[in-house]
Amino acid sequence: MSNTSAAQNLCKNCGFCCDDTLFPHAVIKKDEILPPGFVEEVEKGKRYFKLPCPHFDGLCTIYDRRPRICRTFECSVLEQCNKDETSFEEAAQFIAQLKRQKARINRLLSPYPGATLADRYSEFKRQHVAELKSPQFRLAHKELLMEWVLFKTRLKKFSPKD
Amino acid sequence: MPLSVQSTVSRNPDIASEEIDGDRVMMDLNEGSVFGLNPVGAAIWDLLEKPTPIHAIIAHIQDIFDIPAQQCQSDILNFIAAMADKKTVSVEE
Repeated sequence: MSNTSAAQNLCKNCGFCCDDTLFPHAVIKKDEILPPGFVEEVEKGKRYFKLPCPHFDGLCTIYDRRPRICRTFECSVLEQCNKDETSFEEAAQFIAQLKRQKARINRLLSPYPGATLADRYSEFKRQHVAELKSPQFRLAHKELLMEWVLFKTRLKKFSPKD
Repeated sequence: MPLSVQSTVSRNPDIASEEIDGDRVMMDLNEGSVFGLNPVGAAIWDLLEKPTPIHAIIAHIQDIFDIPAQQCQSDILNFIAAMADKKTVSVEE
């Protein structure tokens, strides 16, 4: 399999940059007009569209009309594969592991409402703000607390290297 | 306290531990800090289910991992000292 098709397969099986796992929003390039459906926001003078992307349904549903950032963005995991520092197989296993972990965290957060995993974890913390520092509470919720820290640590592998 | 191979190491009961996808994750229930252990650290932690003398830890780790004897002893003494500093374990003569 060529590097290009291996990269396409990796991205198709991931989607973390589309579904808000990695980022709460994505940059809109200068003078860019987005297809309908995106929710725009401005932060410190920069335009963004909110994630999860409304056009992501497991795969991109507007692939030929996708925003410019989606055409150019390369996460660190993909970059390492393209530089042969990691194999595509290893990267795929890592992504599959993270998806399983996301599913477990989702189950652990099922009593807490929110649009995204991060929202639901914030809601968990908000509802238990008074108990969060108690060792008994930490013991009772150790699975979620540890999964969350490990998940966030693993996601750092997608961030560009300093 | 200076460590010797005769010292006995015990887990701090206020440290919770979980194995997640093969990674050993620990949480200090009093501090709330979460940290991980490498495979050697995880094997040591498993052994500390009951208080264990350091010489037994060294023998156990040498059985599992291919580490030269002298390096194994020095690495384990350093590891136990670091764990004791963080109050993850306690050490008695």
